[in-house]
Amino acid sequence: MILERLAVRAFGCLRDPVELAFDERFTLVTGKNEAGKSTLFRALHHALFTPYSSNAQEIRELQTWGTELSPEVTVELRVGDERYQVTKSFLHQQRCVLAEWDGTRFRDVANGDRADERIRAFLLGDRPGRGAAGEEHRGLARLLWAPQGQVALPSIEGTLRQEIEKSLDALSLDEGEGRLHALLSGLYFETWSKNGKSFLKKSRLPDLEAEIERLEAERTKAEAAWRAVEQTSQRLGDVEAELAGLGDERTELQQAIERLEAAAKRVQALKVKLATESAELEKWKGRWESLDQQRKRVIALKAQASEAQEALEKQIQPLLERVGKAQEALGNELKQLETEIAEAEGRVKSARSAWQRARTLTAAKEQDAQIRRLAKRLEDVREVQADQAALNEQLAQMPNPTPAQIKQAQELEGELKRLDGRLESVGLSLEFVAESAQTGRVVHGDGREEPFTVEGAETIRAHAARSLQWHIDGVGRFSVRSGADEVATLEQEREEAKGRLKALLAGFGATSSDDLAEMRETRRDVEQRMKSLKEKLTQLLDEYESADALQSALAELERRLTAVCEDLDVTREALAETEPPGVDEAEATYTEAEDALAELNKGLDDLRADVATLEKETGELKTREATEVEKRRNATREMETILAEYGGETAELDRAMSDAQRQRDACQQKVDAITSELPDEDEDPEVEQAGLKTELQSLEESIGALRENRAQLRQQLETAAAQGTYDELVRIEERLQQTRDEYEHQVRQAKAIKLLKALSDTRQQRVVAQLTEPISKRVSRYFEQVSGNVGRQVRFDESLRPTTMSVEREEGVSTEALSTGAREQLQILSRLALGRYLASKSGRHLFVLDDSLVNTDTVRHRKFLELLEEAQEELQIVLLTCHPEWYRGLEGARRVALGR
Amino acid sequence: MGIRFLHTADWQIGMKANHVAKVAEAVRSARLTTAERIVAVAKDEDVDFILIAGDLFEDNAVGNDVVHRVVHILEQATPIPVYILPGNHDLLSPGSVYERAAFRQVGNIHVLRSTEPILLHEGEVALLPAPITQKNSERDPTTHLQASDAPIRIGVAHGSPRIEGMYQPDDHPIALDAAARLGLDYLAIGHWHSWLELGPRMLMPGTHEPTKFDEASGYVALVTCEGGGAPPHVEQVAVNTLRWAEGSFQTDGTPDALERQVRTWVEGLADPKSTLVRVQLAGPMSAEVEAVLRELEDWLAVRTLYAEVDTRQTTPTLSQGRLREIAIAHPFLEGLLADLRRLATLAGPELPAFAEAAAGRDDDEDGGPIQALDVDELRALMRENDLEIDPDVIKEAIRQLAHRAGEVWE
Repeated sequence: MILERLAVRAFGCLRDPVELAFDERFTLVTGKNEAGKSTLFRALHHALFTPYSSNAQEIRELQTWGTELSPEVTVELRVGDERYQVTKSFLHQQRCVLAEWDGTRFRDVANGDRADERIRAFLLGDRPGRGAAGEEHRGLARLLWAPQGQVALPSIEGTLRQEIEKSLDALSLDEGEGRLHALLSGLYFETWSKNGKSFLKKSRLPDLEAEIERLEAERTKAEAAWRAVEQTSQRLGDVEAELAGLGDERTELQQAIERLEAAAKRVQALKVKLATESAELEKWKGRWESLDQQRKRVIALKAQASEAQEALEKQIQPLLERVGKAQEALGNELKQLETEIAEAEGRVKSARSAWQRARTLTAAKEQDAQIRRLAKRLEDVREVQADQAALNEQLAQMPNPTPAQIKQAQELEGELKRLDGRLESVGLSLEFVAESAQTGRVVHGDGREEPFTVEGAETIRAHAARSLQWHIDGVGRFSVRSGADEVATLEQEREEAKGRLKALLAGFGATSSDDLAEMRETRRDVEQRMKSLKEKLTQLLDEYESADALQSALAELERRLTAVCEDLDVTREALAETEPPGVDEAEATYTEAEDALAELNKGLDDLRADVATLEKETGELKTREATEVEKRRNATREMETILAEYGGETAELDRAMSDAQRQRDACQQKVDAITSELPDEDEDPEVEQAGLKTELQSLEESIGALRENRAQLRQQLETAAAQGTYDELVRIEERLQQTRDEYEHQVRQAKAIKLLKALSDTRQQRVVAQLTEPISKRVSRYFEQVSGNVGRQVRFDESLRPTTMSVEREEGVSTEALSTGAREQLQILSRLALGRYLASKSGRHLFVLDDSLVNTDTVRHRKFLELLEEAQEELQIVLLTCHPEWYRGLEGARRVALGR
Repeated sequence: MGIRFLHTADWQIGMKANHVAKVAEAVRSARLTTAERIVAVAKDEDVDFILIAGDLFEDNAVGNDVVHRVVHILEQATPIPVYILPGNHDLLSPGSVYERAAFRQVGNIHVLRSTEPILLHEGEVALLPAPITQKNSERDPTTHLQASDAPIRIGVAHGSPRIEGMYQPDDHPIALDAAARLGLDYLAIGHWHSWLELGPRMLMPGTHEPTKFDEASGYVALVTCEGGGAPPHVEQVAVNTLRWAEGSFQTDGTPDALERQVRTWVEGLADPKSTLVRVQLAGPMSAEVEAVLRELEDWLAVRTLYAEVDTRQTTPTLSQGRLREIAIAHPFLEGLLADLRRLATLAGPELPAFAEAAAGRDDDEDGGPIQALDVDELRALMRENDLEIDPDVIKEAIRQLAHRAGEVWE
């Protein structure tokens, strides 16, 4: 589509009509900011794509500010060879007319919606909904027109994409194919992980794998159990074979043992014989040895007997004789001495009795004297005792006032005196001195009567307070009266004191305290005398406790003396007169006699010792004699006993001996013969048999153990059999097989899907490459041209967006990483390249850039213009800019300045 | 004189059924049902005994419940004696299944534990067993058979008939002339699963209940030996519970005919509900056929015990049907198909060539957008995506593409 003319009225900021004519190749529309360049661009957009009837906000905003005018736009354009005029007014005068040039003028061909529709088709636009058309609705113009600030390539899809593909002779996937591709991809991602190395959980495969793994583990276990049964069976077989082998071995052993048993029996018999012969040999050996001993003994005994005989004859008997004689001599001597001693003893006895009488007499005299002294002492004692008794009697009759009592009597007397004195001063006091003994009574004022008795020359007093009557028997009565009250009290006190004193004194028969004192003194004297008597008595008694003791001692002495006297045959009287013989002389005579006796006795002792020595010697000799006799007798008796067996003959014994020797030697020969027949110790069949029996026993034990093992294995087999290990294995394997079949089926499906996706992806990529490769080449060249950098390679994705830029074969960098200027240039260049492709197929197209290259430097800008100049061969280029200076070098372009 | 017995083998009770894992339990269970049927046949025919020539059980370690069930079934044959020969699966070894308590107190069940001849009919008939005691052996088990002067001698062994190319040397090989050489009236063999007559006196009846699709099994042999050197009379009696049916169909790339054919075939089966079905397809496979097949699989699933469709022999075609039409209008899709076609050629001879390629067509020559990626590019692409050039994956990719294209454009 070529734009030829654009006219607007009341359109946004362009209130006044503006009309622009466009060059077929290049038009530069210049104008300052807000001059309305972009408004013109919008007017063109709405004219071609927005339904005239739209009341969208965006359309309403097109109304010139402050007016009620309908925005109007008229576009004249050429599509192919046809020229058209589009007239559209919005809002109040909604109108759309499409007119076609008939060579002379534009003639209407459609209006209203139909016109709208046909107009949109010029650039393959899409009908917007109720609103105004957006960028996405303007068909090919989405690519060919770059509005201000929107240089980025749009999403290339739908008819736009088809047109591009068409223009590039590239076939893309149709919708069905796209769905197939997507379906395969979807199926793939239901099963496979992104990297295609593993299965996704949501697919059944991991579960099946796990199930297979589990079943395989179970199978391994079950198989092991099954194999174990087989192995146990095998082992049981082995054990049974071994048992059979051991049974054979046992039989062999038993046979060998039996053979050995026969051999052992023969050896046993030999041994028995040997034992018998050995016993016989031993017997004869013993016999011979015994005979030999007997013979030796006989010889020894003979020697012993003759030895004893010789001792008796030559030593003991002569000695005995000598000793016998000595004994006889000593016996005579002893007898004489004994006679002498008896005489001496008589002398000693008489001397001793003379000495004893002298001593007894002397003692008896002394005793007599003592008796007399003691009798005198006893007499004195009796005397003193009589004095004591007399004094005691006296003492018993004597009153014995204590000092306290005396003191009390003295105090009472004092009191009486004091009271009398008081009475004299306060009351009545009547004193009566009797010339003879009188009795009477005193009657006190209160009527109380008190009898009295007085001795001659005794004075009595009566006191009274008020009145007092004194009656004297046979004499008369005195009545005295006084008035004083106190007298009564004093009288009473006096009477009490007097009573007490009288009572006190009466106890001792005294009349006053002086009496009492005197009494006491007298008593003290008596007591003193008693004391001296006691001392005297003590002195007299001396060692005797009492007079009676003294008396009995005396009696004892008397008795003893009397006895002595009787012994001495003297009377007591004679005793006194007898002069005792001299004791010392008698003693000397006695000592002398005793010494002589002692001398004799000593001689006797010596003699007796000699006799004893001889007796001892004789005893010893007798003993020795007896011993030798015994020895001789024993030897003879033993010899006789020994020889008795041999008829009492030594020669017979010798014969028996040589006989025993013969027998012994014969036996020895037999024993040697048997011994030579017996096998060696290490070849002993019994030993060997014992060894084999041990072996057999050990074999039996092995058999026993094996049998036990067999029983166990049988038990194990029985248990395992009951479990049905094979059945279990079979079931698991079948389940495993089923699961594996299922797994393999699923895996096959998954692989098939993977294969299909891989092929589908490859094919899809190939389609994309058919489209992007020429574009890539062209844009790369453009960019090289603009930037001056050689070897730049720009890549496009399947949506035809530039994705990377690389140098030579290096890995590209994302276009996002490029500078703003380069990015801007790349987008515009891509639009330009695609636009040229479109144009190459479907004819010249309007290509609009609205102040696009704002970030591009002058050098690149110039290069860019060169490209645009080149492009004007295929595209109608319209540049809207507020920088006319940038395009000074542009030649051949129509310049339209937009003023206000 | 004369004797009648049932000769069976390889019941493989407790066997694994990985190949039809979905219905493994049913397959296992059917083997017991068939066992019951054999007992019933024995009673109906009033045979003298039942002879099981090895592999009654799949393994010595089968569960005790299974053992008891088998014993219970065999007990039902009383008073008919049942002679069981241990085979290579249930060999007589320590811990053998025959040592279980279940086998200790059953009157009519006799496990042939040694080569000791069993004399029947008052010594007129000798049963000469050769029980297996090793998993593998190169020795002919019939060499263990003892001699007997009984008028009728029946050998029982378990092993592989020595047929060239069909046996392993350590799999208890049995000479093909064993019966004649040993002067037997009949040699009852077990081991292989299909019915196999090996001369007039030697037979392998196969398993009583089929274990897979291509097996001639499901029979027992009703044998009558008259003695006196006369050859035995053998009657094949079908006893199987389940059927394993395989149908082969040729496609022409259009779905309708195929669907009709398959349905007709299945509806013609005697008892589809007791049948395991395999549909074997060959010929060009278009997207439409694929779609029909998917539907057909669901249809089969509810009408049969088990169904599988084998498309390994089909050749994908892109030159027919709707996918082709779509591709013509959509070069992107056309390009993808071209790529897959080129990949298929790279996958080698394992992948049956595309129908187009087989027909010598090559759209690549047209050039333009439908040109396939070049070989190096394709190889690199596969490498980058950790993919191998796997025929199955490529076929699956075509299937998927057809399916997805259908979703997009229909």
